[in-house]
Amino acid sequence: MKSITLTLVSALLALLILPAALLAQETKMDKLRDRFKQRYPQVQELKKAGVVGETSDGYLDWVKKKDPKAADTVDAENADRKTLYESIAKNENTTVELVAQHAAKRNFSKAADGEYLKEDGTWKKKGGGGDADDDTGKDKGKAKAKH
Amino acid sequence: MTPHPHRAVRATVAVAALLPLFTAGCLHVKTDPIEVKTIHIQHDVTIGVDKALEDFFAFQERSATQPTTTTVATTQPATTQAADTAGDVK
Repeated sequence: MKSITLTLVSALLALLILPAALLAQETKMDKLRDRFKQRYPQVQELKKAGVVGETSDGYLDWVKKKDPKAADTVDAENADRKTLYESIAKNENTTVELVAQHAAKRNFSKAADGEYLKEDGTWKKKGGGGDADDDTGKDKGKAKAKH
Repeated sequence: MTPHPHRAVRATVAVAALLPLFTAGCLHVKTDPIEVKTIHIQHDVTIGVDKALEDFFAFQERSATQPTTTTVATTQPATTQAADTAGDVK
């Protein structure tokens, strides 16, 4: 009798905890999406202005030099991207690197003409127009954004 | 009674000719399914990751289409204005 009661209580607890856990996960992802949404226009502006560009690692990076005014936005964007990649990697049972690579591929294809894309350490303008200035891209360490 | 020498040679030749076929057949059967399974799993993961990214960033597509409608609304008076100015020049 005791074991039956124990099983029933466990099942009831599982029924209560599981949706709560799923809801918490959903809320966490919603909050993350909201942050991306809020930052999206600023990030687009920075990309259009050629201040930042997408990299083949799936993160944003400074095309020429770090702009202190935009540093908070870029750092927050990269931190949130890392969180998102980790979450997808966990759900899909794969690595963060693989998710980041897929995201980079997506970002490259969605980028508008004239935006900068960094592949193999070199910046290139999408849709032609040549490389960024010589002091950029090759000097990876100086302008690297935190992520 | 001893076996015919030609028969023994024929049997050896037949076994020697068929043996590589049997071994090749066995090797083929062992390796093929493993490769197919790996590719299948990899493919599923790739699709899952792409879908998760697309679903998450769906708002980008929506906001990308939104300015187009507002541009149409704002450009209409501007075109009329441009036509007016063009008329003034004449």
